[in-house]
Amino acid sequence: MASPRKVADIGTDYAQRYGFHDPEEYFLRSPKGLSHEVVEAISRLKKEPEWMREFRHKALDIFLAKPMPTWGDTQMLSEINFDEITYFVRATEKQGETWDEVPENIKRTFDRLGIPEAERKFLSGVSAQYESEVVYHSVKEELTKQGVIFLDMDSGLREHEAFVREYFATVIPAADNKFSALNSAVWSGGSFIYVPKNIEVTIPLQAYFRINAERMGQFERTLIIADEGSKVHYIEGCTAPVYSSNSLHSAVVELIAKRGARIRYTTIQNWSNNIYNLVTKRAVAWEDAVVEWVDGNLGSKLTMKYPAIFLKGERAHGEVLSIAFAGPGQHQDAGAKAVHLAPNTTSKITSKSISKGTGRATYRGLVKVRKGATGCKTSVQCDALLIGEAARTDTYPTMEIAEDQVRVEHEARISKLGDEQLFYLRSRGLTDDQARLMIVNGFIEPFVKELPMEYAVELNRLIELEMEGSVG
Amino acid sequence: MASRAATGATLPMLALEHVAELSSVAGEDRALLALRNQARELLTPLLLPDRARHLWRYTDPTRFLPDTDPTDLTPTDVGPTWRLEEPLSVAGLLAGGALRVVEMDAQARKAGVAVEDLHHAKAAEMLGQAVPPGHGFVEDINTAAWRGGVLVRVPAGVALEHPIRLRVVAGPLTLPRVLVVAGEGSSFEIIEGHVGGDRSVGKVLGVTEILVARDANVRYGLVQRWDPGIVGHLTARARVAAGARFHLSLASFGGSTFKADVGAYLAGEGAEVETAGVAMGGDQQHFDHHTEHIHEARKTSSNLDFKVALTHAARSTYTGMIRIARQAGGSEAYQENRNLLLSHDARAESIPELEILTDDVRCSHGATVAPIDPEQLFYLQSRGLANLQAMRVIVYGFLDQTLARLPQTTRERIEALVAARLHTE
Amino acid sequence: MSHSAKPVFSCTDVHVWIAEKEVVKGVDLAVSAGEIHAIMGPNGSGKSTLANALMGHPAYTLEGTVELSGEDVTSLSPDEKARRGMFLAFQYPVAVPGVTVASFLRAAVAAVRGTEVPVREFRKELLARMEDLEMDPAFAGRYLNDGFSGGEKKRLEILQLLMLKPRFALLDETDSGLDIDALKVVAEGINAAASQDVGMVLVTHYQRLLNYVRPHVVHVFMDGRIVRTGGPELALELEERGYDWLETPATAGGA
Repeated sequence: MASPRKVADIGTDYAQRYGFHDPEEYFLRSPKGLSHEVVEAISRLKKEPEWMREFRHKALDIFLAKPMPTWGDTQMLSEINFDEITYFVRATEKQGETWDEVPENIKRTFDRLGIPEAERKFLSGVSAQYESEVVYHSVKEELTKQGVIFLDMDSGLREHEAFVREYFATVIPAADNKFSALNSAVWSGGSFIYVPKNIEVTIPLQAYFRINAERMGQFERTLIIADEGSKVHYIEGCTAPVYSSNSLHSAVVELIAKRGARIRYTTIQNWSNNIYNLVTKRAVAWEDAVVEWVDGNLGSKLTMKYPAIFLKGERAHGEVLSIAFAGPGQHQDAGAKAVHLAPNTTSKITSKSISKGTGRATYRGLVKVRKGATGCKTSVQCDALLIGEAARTDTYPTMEIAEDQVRVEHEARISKLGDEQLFYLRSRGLTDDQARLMIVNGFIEPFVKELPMEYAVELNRLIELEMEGSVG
Repeated sequence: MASRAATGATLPMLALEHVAELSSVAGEDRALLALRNQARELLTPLLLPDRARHLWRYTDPTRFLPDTDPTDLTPTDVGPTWRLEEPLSVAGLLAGGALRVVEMDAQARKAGVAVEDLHHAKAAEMLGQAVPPGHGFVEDINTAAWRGGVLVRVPAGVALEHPIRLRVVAGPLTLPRVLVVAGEGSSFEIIEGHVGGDRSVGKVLGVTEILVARDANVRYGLVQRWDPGIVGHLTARARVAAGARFHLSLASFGGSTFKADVGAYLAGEGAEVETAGVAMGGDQQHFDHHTEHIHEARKTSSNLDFKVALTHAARSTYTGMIRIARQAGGSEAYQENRNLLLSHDARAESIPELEILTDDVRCSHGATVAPIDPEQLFYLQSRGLANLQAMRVIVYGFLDQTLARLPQTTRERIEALVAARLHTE
Repeated sequence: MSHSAKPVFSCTDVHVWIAEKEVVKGVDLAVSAGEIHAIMGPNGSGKSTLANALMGHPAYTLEGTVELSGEDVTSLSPDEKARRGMFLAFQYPVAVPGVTVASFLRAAVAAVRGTEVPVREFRKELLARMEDLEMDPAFAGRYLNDGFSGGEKKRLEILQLLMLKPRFALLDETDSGLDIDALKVVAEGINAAASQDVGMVLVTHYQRLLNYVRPHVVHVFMDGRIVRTGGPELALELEERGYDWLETPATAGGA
């Protein structure tokens, strides 16, 4: 669809039309709002190749032309003011925020989670960099030895242009949806990872390990290519609340698992509750490849995120394991997509959500089996836990099956935090709070046990805070 | 409901020129004409539902647009007589755009059961309670232009021994309207059978409303076995009051394109609704079934079991909604949709949805799509059954659990149709 | 009803309502340390309701007075009662998926004893008690009551009794659903607890358990009331004659 060459064919006069601004000066003058001038300035500031510049402009046209989604939380979506958003912040600069401006509840959560000082400032946007040099160096040595490329996306484009050009936007074209178009126009940061054939990266890769790691961007762009027979685990985010005065986060993540490769992508995100988190994540799994999305969504005002796996090669396997916690006033509209395009492919989707107070958790999913994709098996299990009479949960699964030799199962269960469970635990001396927390922790256990230890511990602490109602 | 977003520049036209004339010729009162006009207003301009939304994603709504002005038809004298072989409380025939036959047994007559021509039953204030104007464009076309309608009213406390049978015969363009009013504490079984269309192509846009008063017990069956030329859309919605029970049986066999919208509002505390449905599609048939159980009151319970078996290049879409409103605590709802694909070219979509707005609920749903289990097939064949026989046995087994939920007469009727269908495959 | 020693548990004129219905209609009990009482009665007589209501189940309304070692605990929440040394072994323990037996018990022990027990020490104690009850150590890693057989659930209830060391325990139909071997193991657990001065009330339908646990006092419970109280011989009499001869409340004899 939006391969760079084709994009170049569509319009080539962007340079004439928008190519005269001095980007430095531009951002001094007009930091908010979105236009071709902004896109031009971003691309020039980054000194990007022509094809990427064209790609961005084309994407902006698509973004402007596409209507807002008519599904999902259209009410909340309609409240986004695109003119009030800063689309590019130079990574090396301070964010113009001071520690005093960071909301009290975020600071309190940092305290409770025991986040170190330097990291707190990074997470809340007060400092632009957070480095973990010591860890990084040993990791870097190991990776270099193996031939693994692990860079931020901007550096990836500079240092491996041909490579990036070959794969960039091949999994998620700019025109996929309005927000992927937006990301394509203004992306900055994110990770670029290439794992060579038969290389197994033993430690999970985390953005933290990158030198000069940027603050988690609003419009990150991540591309991971696992070559044949390789194996990699990438971890994005952390359990600490990420505060930003900018209210829109719209990332694009593309994964390519070649024959026999294995990618696990773990996300734990806890956005502050002013954030719209509208993310497009998609993986392609070739023959015998395995892709797993482990996705934890906490915080934010509205999250819309449906990690997808396109199973293109025979016997490929995809899994999505997700939890969502919707606190008061929040809407977690999350789900998963498994598209079976080749025979004997399998997928498994497990979704767990918790709605508390006026929180709303929505599972929205798609399972599709194309004609000829015989022998596929797919199962979906959704469990929703409701806490409080104003809590809401929705389940919107779609199954489109064009092949008879397949097995498709979907099951959803809604439960209330049970009175009988509470009574049982309280009769053993646990307070009401302790008992509730224990039930919720038990509910998300299948997710937590898939996380690396330090994340699991942090997540449990965070859930504890959420259950007290003291976070965000 | 489907949103009414415009689909583009070229809007299909819909002529509804003679609403007033239709109403006056049929002898309707002003209130009924007002309701027709209200629906016509909603269709001007005609906005078709958004195809991106799941309710119409799989079926083109323009297929249900009438080819001629439906208000410009005159009732035609039609031949079909109806030999009644089974004991019935009431038999009613809607054909050629008019209510033709009404027979009633002594018990029903004595109990005060009323079966009237809906055109002059002065029932406008009851119409639209379960399918209000704005429900959807097909229903609005029916509300504006229906011709040939029947009101069945069973008084409070009356329990009918034998079922009520309504038969609706499809013609070139048929817009039947049925209103069933079940009085407090009444109890009866009613079967609405859709047949006909043998000669050529035809369109049916039917709407049925069932008002179930407090503590009543209504078993309603909607059985569609049109001939292959028919394109049709049937809507059947019930409003169920406190303590009442409503059982909906749905059986779909015929037509080329068939879309159904069935369901119930559980409007009073303690209301119970059960929907059990089977659909058997073959050839190039296109089925699109939508069910809704809307829990509006406390301590209501609903259960839904819908099974689809498809052969040849048949295609089925199922969308189901269970909604439990904020004020409907203490409710439970279960929903299950299973699809059996018996041929390589059959395809199925399933979208069972839940919207749960309060926590004091018990709720679950499940859906599956699968082929015949080769192990089952092998087992039956090893016991001497030929392939086709074995498949029949498996399909029977697949449908049987659902059929077992049907009320007696409806069940016998539908089982016979299932058997007939299986043996012509 | 007074004993020389102050009872570890007593309740006075206890009535229990479920919604509008009165299920327990005036019950008095006093249990001393190390004393075992059995409450026997036909199905549906309200025995389980009484046990759950005494522990503070939110679905029941209780009137009357409940005391633990002389302290009025009537209006306390279930966890406050538990922390004051009261224990209920459930007839139908509920599953809490995702929570392991070990982590649950560790939290409960910490809550009841008011102090964290070091992990190693806790583990040692847990494994020892599990061995007493002939339980597989792997049991500690399973999710609480999730997919447990009836017998496994009952053993886990007794394991909790031994770990939480209450002053007073109510055992609701702990003998039901057990095979004879399991019954013996459970009975040993009960006897072990009693020997450590726990006051106990066994609520049961059959006298089967009483072959292995010898109660000091037997109460017959019918239609929401204690209709007769006697010694262990009363249980045998019930076994032989059934409950019919006690049918009318008029025959209620007290002690």
